[in-house]
Amino acid sequence: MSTLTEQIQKEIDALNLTSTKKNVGTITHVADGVAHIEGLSGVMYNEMVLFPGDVYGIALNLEEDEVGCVVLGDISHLKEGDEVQSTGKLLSVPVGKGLLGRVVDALGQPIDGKGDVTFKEQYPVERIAPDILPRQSVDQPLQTGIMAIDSIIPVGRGQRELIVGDRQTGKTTIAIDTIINQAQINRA
Amino acid sequence: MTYSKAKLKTLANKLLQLSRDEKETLSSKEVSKVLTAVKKQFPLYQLRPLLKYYLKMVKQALRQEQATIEYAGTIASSDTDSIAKLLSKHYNCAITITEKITPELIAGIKIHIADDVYDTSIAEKLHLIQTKN
Repeated sequence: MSTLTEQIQKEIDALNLTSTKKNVGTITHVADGVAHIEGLSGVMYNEMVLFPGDVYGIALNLEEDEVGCVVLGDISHLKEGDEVQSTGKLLSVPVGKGLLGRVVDALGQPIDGKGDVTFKEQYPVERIAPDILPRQSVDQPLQTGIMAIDSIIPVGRGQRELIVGDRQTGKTTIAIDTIINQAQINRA
Repeated sequence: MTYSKAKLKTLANKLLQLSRDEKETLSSKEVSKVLTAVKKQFPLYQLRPLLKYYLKMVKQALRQEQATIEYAGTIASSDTDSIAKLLSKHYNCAITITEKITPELIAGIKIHIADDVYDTSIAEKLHLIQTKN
């Protein structure tokens, strides 16, 4: 009983009594996954906006009197006059080891039914890549499992590689074989 | 002469400026003067789009000068006056207040002005707690 009251007391103590400020707008029309919104005067380019039903979108087209947003979710329930809120956050996704082995959507929300993703930080999607010098040097091979590649042109872990070839020559097969081989190595 | 969309918007913006009185507030007297003048001088086939832009801008300007206070229960008139004063100072224009009773807020107030919403209601706090967990 006392833990229950303590829990409520803790929540009361943690309550922030300052007001929350939101910048809002209303949908004027929605079509083909794009919503046009009147208002949202304080929205930033590439900022995440919240539609009704906890559907997120990105503000991409900032005009003088309206904002064009790409809706990253189901648009079937959105209608003219619905309120849209700005979030103050640029499009960002969770990063870290909590994502290993998980299947997530474009916003980093889990879609594998294994519960919430545990993460400590989020990185913006449109982020400038670090320069070459501060990067850790490649010191570990990435085994594709294809002997010809691993022996003649070994791939370094963290490197970028390009698979070039005519159609039906097995480009996707190489990529999938590599993924399967990695899964086997990591499972062991 | 056919006016482009951008030109019509600029014209509508000028009409909006002419619709303000000496105190820089929108007055119905000035608006009717503007409408009479526009009807006389502007080509009829482009009058509709111009008036549509004008209407949109007037609505937007009115939204910036009017605040709605939503509350559950009662609110003292002195409180609404002080809120109006603070908002006028913050938004740098005279703000008029309209009141609305919304029992769903449980307690506290929610202020809508232009595109901004200030929320101190218990309903919002509970929603924040719910989304946090």
